[in-house]
Amino acid sequence: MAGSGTSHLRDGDDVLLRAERVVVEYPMRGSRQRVRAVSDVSLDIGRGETLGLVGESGCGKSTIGRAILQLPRPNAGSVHYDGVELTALSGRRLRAYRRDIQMVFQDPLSSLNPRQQIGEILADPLRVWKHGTPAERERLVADTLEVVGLDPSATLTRRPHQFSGGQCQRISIARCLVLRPGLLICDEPVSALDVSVQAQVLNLLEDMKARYGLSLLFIAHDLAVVKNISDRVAVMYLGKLCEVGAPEKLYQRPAHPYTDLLLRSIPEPDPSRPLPDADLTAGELPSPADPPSGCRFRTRCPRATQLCAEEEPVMRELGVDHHVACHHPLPTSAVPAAAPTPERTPA
Amino acid sequence: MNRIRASVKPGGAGAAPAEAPGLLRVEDLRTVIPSRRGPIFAVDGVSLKVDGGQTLGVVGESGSGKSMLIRSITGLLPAGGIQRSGSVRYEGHELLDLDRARLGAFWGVELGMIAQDPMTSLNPVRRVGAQITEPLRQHLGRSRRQARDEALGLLRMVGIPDPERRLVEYPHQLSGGMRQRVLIAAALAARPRMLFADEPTTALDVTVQAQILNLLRRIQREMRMAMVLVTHDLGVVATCTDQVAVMYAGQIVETAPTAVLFDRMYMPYTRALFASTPRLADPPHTRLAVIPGRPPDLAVPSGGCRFAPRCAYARDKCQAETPPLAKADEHGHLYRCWFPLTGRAPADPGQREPAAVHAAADRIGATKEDG
Ligand SMILES: Nc1ncnc2c1ncn2[C@@H]1O[C@H](COP(=O)(O)OP(=O)(O)OP(=O)(O)O)[C@@H](O)[C@H]1O
Ligand SMILES: Nc1ncnc2c1ncn2[C@@H]1O[C@H](COP(=O)(O)OP(=O)(O)OP(=O)(O)O)[C@@H](O)[C@H]1O
Ligand code: SF4
Ligand code: SF4
Ligand SMILES: [Mg+2]
Ligand SMILES: [Mg+2]
Repeated sequence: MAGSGTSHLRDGDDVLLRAERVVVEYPMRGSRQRVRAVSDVSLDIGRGETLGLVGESGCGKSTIGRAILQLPRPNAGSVHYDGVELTALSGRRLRAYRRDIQMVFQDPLSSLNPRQQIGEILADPLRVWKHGTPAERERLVADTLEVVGLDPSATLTRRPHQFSGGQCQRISIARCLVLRPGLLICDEPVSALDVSVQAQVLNLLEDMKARYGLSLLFIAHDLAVVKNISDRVAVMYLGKLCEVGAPEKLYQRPAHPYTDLLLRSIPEPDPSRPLPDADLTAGELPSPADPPSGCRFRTRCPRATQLCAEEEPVMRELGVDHHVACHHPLPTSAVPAAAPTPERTPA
Repeated sequence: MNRIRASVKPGGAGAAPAEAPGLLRVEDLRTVIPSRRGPIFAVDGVSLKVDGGQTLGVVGESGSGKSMLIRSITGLLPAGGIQRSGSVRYEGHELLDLDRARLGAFWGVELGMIAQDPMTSLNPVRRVGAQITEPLRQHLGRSRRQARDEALGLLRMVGIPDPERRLVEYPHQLSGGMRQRVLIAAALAARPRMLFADEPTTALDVTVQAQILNLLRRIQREMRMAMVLVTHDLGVVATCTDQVAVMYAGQIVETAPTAVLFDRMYMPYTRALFASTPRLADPPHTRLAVIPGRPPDLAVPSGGCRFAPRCAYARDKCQAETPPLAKADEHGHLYRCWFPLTGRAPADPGQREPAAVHAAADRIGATKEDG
């Protein structure tokens, strides 16, 4: 296998979520085989911390997010939330934790019921959880709309299609926030939005984090967006974790060849810089149904050796808050030999 | 510095010297879509020019008319009584005068298109292979065998693993990113001389994007292919285009050679758009600039500057009078603003505060009204 291990996990009361050795398999259509969408992945999120999760399409980011919510329950591994093992819970007790962990999806419009008024959409979760009196619920809904920057009097009685994409995303964030969750899982929350609206939503999430002490799992494939919002970043490839660390370290001195490839592939918004070279082996993208032996990245890795085909690399510590699962990581102490990009040159 | 002779009409735009004909030349293009709420002025007096081997990048917020501009140029418009006026000349042919059948002769060999939505532009009931080999056989007279070999090569070039298997599959059997790559392969099959690409890499991962952009560049160099590239990715704009046009509410509000535009932005909207984009070089938790409000309703034509309701610098004149596309001193730089910014573009993170923070001193007086 490629990229497992738990050395990057932290201990202590500051850790809100600790997912350990999580495995999620899906049945494959027209076959009795199963796809391991998430294969032995461990991650943790501190209280008030934002963990950014990046990786290519299909690498298992959304699957991890749903596995935390036990939707569906992972095939193996544990999900420890605030001292409680969620994989051992069922029924009413599990639902109680689903209230504390909320999820924001990519497409705001399709995740809001088009026939309901915004006031109803926001009050529904409160009603379901029998929170307070109707008057208290009304006040909480109005307060939360104010907090996400919407005027309650102009919003409450309207329906989702009467709002722009950014406003709908703010409404779906408000719907999660009325329950005052401890952890917000954001699955590509800004990917469908315009840059100007994306900026509003990113700023809003930062404000909410500061205001409510929220913890965030922020899933996205845009590395600049993830860097902007994260306290810690985890990089995934084909159902495995490659590298975890503080954004400054991971972006300036990527240790995993895949992180390095991702960062090198991003064109800089600077006309004096060249178009990034193509990853010539990208045509050999392996399938999660039939992953390469050893390290899953080896078919595209310029540093791969025989060892990489034989043995799966295990997560290990490189420095404070920087972990990598690779047999031959890039040097992180010295400036890499390759052409430096601006964020690698000292500011 | 040489002053270029751009033919700028009020309400129109000239992105290039008047005397050079260009491979594609658009003059005062207007597209009106009828709707229940009245006519929508989706493209409102756009002029531009693209030479062989050159790339024009088109940027702007959602709904600013980027796709409608491309569709209006190529004639690939949805049904429903859409009216176009102005002029679209390709190698001297007036495309607006051609009917669908005569326009069809240009498709493939002369003009290629990568539409924004891959699902609607691939034929759902035809195999992937047929959709790529057809232009090769029809326009280039390849044999079945040759066309198949070339199609395989194209699929490999756009990074599709196991292309033999993909040839016999249908579009719904492919993932979104895979479909997008098939679409790119189909558009490039007959090696068009002019390619219109509407967000061709937006749905793709960065490593695949780098591959496609390199492929486009290679073909462009080999064939002197011209390109109009719609994208919201400022990195793609910076590294892949020669000229940039910024669209707002159906109009070009600023256009310049790419390096010039990144160095100097006159129109507050351009700067605000750039400043709201997160950058890799910025430290985590950098506060992003936000453009307040929303783009205007294109069914309600307004006098004055269309950006005025959202502009931090708006004054009375902005509401009352429509700014023309005026010439700046730099070669080929045009902008539509009464009170242009003169500060350099926000190149380093330290300068990336919201446009509103820049003081009123950060501008020159109203430039001459160009006519
Ligand atoms: N319900 C499902 N049934 C079968 N396979 C699935 C299912 N959901 C996801 N998969 C597969 O599991 C893998 C991981 O999918 P997942 O949606 O978690 O990826 P992702 O990283 O979120 O991708 P994206 O960036 O495209 O959203 C993919 O190969 C996908 O095809
Ligand atoms: N088929 C249509 N019928 C009516 N109005 C339309 C149609 N297509 C586009 N429009 C309108 O024309 C304007 C321009 O739309 P267009 O699709 O060109 O925007 P865009 O800049 O490509 O946006 P995006 O970045 O979201 O693709 C918008 O106001 C849109 O609502
Ligand atoms: S060097 Fe080996 S272990 Fe490291 S990423 Fe490359 S293939 Fe994997
Ligand atoms: S003309 Fe006025 S409102 Fe329009 S962009 Fe310029 S300063 Fe702003
Ligand atoms: Mg996903
Ligand atoms: Mg579009």
